[in-house]
Amino acid sequence: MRGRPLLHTSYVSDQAIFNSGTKKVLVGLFLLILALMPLGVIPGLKWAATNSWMRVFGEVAVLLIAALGLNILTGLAGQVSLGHAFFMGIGAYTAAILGGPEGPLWGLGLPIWVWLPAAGAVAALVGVVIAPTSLRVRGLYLAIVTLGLVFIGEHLFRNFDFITGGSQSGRTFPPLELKLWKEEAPIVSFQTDGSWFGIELSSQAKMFYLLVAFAIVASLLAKNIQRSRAGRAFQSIRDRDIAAEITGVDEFRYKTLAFAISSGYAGVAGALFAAFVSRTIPEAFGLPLSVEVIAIVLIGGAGIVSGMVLGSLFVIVLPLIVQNLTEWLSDLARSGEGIVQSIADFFVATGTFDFGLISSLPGSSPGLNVFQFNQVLYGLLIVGFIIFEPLGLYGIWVRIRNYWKGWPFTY
Amino acid sequence: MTAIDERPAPPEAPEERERKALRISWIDLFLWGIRIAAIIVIVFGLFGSISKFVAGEGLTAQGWRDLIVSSLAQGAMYGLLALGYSMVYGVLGFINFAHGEVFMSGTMVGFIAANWLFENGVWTSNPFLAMFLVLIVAMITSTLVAVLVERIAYKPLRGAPRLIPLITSIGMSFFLQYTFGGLFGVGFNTYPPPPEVIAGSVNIFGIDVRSTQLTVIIIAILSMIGLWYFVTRTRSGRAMRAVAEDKEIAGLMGINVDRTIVLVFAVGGAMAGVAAMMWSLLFRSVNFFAGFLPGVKAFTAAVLGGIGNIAGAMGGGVLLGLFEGVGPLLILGGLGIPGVSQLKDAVAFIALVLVLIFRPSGLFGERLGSEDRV
Repeated sequence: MRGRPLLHTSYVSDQAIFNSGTKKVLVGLFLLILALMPLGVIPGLKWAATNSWMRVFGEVAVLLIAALGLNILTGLAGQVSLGHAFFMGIGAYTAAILGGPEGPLWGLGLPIWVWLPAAGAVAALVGVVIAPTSLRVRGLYLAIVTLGLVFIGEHLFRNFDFITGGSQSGRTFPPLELKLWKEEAPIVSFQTDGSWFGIELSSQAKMFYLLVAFAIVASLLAKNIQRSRAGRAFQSIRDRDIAAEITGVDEFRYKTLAFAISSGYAGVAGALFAAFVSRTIPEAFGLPLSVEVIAIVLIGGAGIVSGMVLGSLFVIVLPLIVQNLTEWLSDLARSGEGIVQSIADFFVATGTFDFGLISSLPGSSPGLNVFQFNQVLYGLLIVGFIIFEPLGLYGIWVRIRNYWKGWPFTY
Repeated sequence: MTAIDERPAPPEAPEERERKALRISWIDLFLWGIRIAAIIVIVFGLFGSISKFVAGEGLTAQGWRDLIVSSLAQGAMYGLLALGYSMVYGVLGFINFAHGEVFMSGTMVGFIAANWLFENGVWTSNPFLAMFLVLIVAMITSTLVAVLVERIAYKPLRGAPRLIPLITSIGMSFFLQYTFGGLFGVGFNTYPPPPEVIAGSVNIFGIDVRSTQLTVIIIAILSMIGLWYFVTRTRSGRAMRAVAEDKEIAGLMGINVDRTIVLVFAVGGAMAGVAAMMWSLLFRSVNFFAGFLPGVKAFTAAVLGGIGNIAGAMGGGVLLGLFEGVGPLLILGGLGIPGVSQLKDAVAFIALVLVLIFRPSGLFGERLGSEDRV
């Protein structure tokens, strides 16, 4: 006999990762889509199988890992850190030293199973060193100290040019391929086109699979950390640190732990990010990256793992949508007619002396160019989300879900 | 299977408690280690610089004096900017990251005014009037932007946790940066050269001081006196202090809290406008990103002086200016590190981290409202 739906009769079933049937179905569907998307067999999602989109979704997966880490520190433990990019940089350059190609810059050419865990471990260690400051300085001061960390880090990265290659040329990062040790031919290479199990795959699709696999593991881990004793301790520190200490939560230990886990995630994400873009300059690990990760956490919904998935999709894909929209509008403004054309023309500047909100021309002209428009929109979205939907995208989802739960009744 | 697998922890044994005491001292040990290392670096650096100076290497005495005066002028600018951060933090308890962009808007619109005046000849024929007009334009712009930011991004969030307005301020800062970048172009705009009257240098007590720097310091002192009068001697100023002390009780005493908060933003914005004018005299070139670094440094200055403390903000600004102007050369140069002047920005942040570790409440003591005092 079936009881009332969503009635949990034991703590175990209440705390299960997928504690309702809907969640199981939705996650299963999502995973199925992820698995089939690169093959281009899903009707309506065929565009996503192109190389450029595969690359975008790979980036989403990498930033998802970074955001999951920050989510543990900021969303669960309530410690605002603007220094996530610094830890990502530490991870990336650890990976570069260990796994990077031997040459003028430091690089030992070790395989991925050495450099990836090492990147996480070194970043986590640095996080442990930084953590005592979070006991000394609280709240917003911590945000500023970690902001300082980003600047100091950027400076160090720029000046250690025997590791990072300096800001002119940058350096090459280890390739994404599985080797046993330093042998020539990798067992599995994710950066060359080829066929797996008889299916032709591009390198982008292969990297997509790899990064998504990492992201899935990272999400499950994050969810489990959240459900564990440590996760509950983090949340109690977030809600009221003094009350948490009174109930027996060792503040120092758990803050350090939160820092370590968060920066470990950042280190892994940084290493994967660097390997994914394969060549980058020290400035890539600056404040904008930190802000991007924070934006993912807040837009997705702080403290919620599935929110991070939504948030990273949103933050990475939004600029592309804006770009496509601009191109579409400028096409309309050039070749359309009637009222459609005049509306499009109002938004897009197509000529040098044409007024428009967005300019589709290279160089300086009146109106914002696509990149600037993206940044403006980005800023407005952060503000808008926080003012109108403090729980982020997840909050919107909860409202939709609750609406259908009671449908057709209003409550 | 039991539902909850947590048992209350057994009471701590004495050894356990001792171990805990030991762990706290471990943090202290870490902090003391940093302190001692910092002192060693400073002492050795000073020693090195002095011996270098005696040996006749490096900067001459005049060079050091110039460096100190220009650092003071820059510090005065940071100080005025820091006031905005400090006052907002004192009243609302969060960092207004967009304050740097408020300053930037002043420099950008001030540039347009200055350029227009230059093209019409007012800049050269009537320099004081021209500079005054630029100052007024910059102040009005900055005040307007500050008040608008408050209205759009902070007012709906009164009563939300502190982290929330911090993040919206980052969002606003992005928005303002790129809106101004789009409206005024992303390239650098260069102010017309300072008028002849203040182009040379003046001799004060036997020291040659560049007139622009002197002007900046004088403007800073004048605006500080004005602000001091406003905060301590006027009705609105008293209301501001009351709101900073305790919003609720101030409200009960008949103070319009919302209006006072807007006033705080307006005054902070006006000071940022004055700082914008100073920037135009000191550095002359502006772009849409010009507000970011001065903003971050001004916040550093506010923390350095003790947040919420108005005189402290000014003092912190001057100290930070000196520290980042003179410090790298004096201390790191003395240690023989090459290319120290590039280290300016990193030094400013290291100074901040050190202050937070040595004296978290700032050098002159913080003044926070009832809710922020722990």
